[in-house]
Amino acid sequence: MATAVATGPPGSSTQTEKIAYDDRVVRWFVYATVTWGIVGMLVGVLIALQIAWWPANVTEYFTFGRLRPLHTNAVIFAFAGNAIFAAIYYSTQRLLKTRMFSDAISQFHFWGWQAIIVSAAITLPLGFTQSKEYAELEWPIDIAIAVVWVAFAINFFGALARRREKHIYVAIWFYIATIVTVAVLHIFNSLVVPAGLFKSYSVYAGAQDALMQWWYGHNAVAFFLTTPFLGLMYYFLPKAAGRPVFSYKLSIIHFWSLVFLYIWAGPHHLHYTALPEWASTLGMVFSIMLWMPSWGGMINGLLTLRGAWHKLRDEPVLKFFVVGITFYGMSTFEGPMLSIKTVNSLSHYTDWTIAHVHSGALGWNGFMAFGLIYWLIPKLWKTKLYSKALANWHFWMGTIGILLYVIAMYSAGVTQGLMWRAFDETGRLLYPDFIETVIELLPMYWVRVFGGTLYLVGFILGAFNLVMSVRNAPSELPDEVVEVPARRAFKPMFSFKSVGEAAKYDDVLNTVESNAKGNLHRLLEGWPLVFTVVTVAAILVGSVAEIVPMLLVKSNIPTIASVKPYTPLELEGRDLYIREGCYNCHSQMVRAMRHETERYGEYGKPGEYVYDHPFLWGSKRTGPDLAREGAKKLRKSHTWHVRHMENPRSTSPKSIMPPYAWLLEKDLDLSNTQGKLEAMMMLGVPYTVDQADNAVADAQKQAHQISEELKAEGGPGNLEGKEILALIAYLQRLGTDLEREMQSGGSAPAASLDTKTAQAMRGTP
Amino acid sequence: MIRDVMQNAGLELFAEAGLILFLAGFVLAVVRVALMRKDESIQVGHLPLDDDQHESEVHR
Repeated sequence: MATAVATGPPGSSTQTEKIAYDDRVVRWFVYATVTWGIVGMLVGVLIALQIAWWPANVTEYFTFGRLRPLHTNAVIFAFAGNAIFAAIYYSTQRLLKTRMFSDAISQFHFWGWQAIIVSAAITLPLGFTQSKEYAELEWPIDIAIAVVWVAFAINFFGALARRREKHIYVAIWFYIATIVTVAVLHIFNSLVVPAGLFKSYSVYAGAQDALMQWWYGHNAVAFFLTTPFLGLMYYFLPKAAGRPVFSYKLSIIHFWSLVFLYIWAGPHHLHYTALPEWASTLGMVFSIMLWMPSWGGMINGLLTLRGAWHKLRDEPVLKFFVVGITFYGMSTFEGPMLSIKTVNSLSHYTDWTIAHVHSGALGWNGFMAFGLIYWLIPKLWKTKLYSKALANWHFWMGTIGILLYVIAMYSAGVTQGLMWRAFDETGRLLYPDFIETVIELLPMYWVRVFGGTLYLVGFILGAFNLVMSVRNAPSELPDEVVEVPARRAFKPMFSFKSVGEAAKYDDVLNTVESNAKGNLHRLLEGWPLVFTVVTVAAILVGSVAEIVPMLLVKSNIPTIASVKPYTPLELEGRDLYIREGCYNCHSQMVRAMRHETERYGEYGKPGEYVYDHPFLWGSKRTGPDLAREGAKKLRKSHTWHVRHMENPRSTSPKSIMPPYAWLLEKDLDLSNTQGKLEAMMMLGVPYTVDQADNAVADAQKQAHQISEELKAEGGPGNLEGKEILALIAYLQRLGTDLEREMQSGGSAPAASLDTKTAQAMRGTP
Repeated sequence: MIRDVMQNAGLELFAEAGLILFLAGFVLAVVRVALMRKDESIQVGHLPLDDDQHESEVHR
């Protein structure tokens, strides 16, 4: 496949050779981007509809809880993922003036990634999930992701090693940061102990797991949805505008600041939770600092169009890029703002976060991907775009769709936040019934459905435009060939021409001086390995500074004597809770704020969650928090739970929760209960060997007891051995450990907050 | 033992060290930018625009 041909005289300084770029794999990635993008956004529209109109939840496999992870994974890793691979494969070859390292690896990368996407599309609706946001896929798929990612890295760094361009352009820096950081994030957040082929438990627990997850989650946004798209911007925007980037110098500062600062920001997802205060504050401070490099990048992008703004009138590619970059600016202003604790106290768990995410995903990632595809169509398929008018329709439908979506969700988020914290003049909650706050949001949920549909229809028009353009393409699509300077022989960093210590020192000094003639960074840019190591060091500083103390310093997680491991049946119930994706709508973390403690009970302590592998604090409250569901203040009868799962509206009129009637029909599978306890023991959960050996018998005994209690309550008598009993056992357990501690006169340590801060916050409406 | 060392080291140390490292890195980047020759930055900035010249085609 490689077609390098030497055309100049050997040894001549003007020697050139011809090389062919591999554009076939880029075309494949473009097709995959469009296909999975439509699938992912179709699922997005469906789950938006399911929130607005619960009957859209059909069968156990297509409920909101199971489809939401499918939507997020499809849009992030399938749509955006394939888009960045298309961009990286196209631009890397041209910037380095070399074909990718191996065509076989390129194909393995492409097909491997698609296989991962298909496996996600199958396993997530089946309920196989680790429950950590954007990292839900079970461990065999995690391993496959690691293998494919390593193959991608080999292909990329192999090309880098064989490059014919000495300077590594800034877009390539962003790709390097993406490749190495995503690898680090994926490996450390996905560490689990398997308890079966499609079941595993995170090695971290509670507050530590939460920190790891949001270190990963926020940096998945940073290094999967931001840095590769910035690389894309720095390469394709100048191409589309016909002008170099506004300031290359600014791009250098942009890169290093962004890479260093982003990695610290994750804990801002956990403000006011049981995460230690220092970690939360650190996340906030670095998030605010992050605003500057982000806007530096945005300004650099927009000013690249200086003198070319008139092109926007006729060029859909530039329209998509400009609006995409503008949304990047909006999102990266909003992100730091939301990380400020006082703002976050209003916005957290509400749809404001959903609005923020979608202004980034639909505006920045979506529009940059669309601009990329429209720019690539004539290049890759050697044909004209089928219809510019259609592309303009796509642009306007997309823009209006995003605006409708985010305005509706901003409105919903602020409404939610304000209603949750509203008190009447007597000091009682103004809306004590959570459902009141949900009903208020329904009109906005319908606007979201409409906005999302408009965006999707625009995308489908774009796909039609692509298909029609390809139909007009020549049947043979040859690889592009360019004439480039011949690759120079590898020159070692230090060469020793003569023997003898003095001569060696002279040679070393001369070589260093010669290499450093430009300046230090120029030297660094010529050494991709060193550059990569420095980039890894930059991201590791923040990671180590936050994670290591969290894992090692005992005072972060004060123990609570009454907190015990889950019984085997409760553990099975917890796994059902995870399988059904309940955490997608219900949090399990009462924040240290008066309106939260009034509504739910005592605020969350880090010591409560030490056996929670994984943590289930959640990030959104479409339904109420469940952390204290089993405690006296909120406790319901077993019968209530059965009725609620069978038909939520029978116990909570106007509820938008889908029914989970199959929990009353399906037999509880205890075949792996012992294995699950043993996996937990490996993680340090203090079960005894006897408890593990008797796990099934204990679970059956507790299930029978609940079944008898149900009968005694006058509830259904035919649920012996059904899944619902395990879920009831789990829900009735929630919050009881802490309650026992407080009733026995113990004072559960606040730990994450010093006492004064905790008291002050609890008194803050 | 490492837990004891970490516990007694004071958590603020980590944040302060991180901030200092960032400042050092940032200063280095600014120095790099300040010392960068204009012709070099112009040349490098044009890399994306120069990468598809003299293209021809080859059939697989």
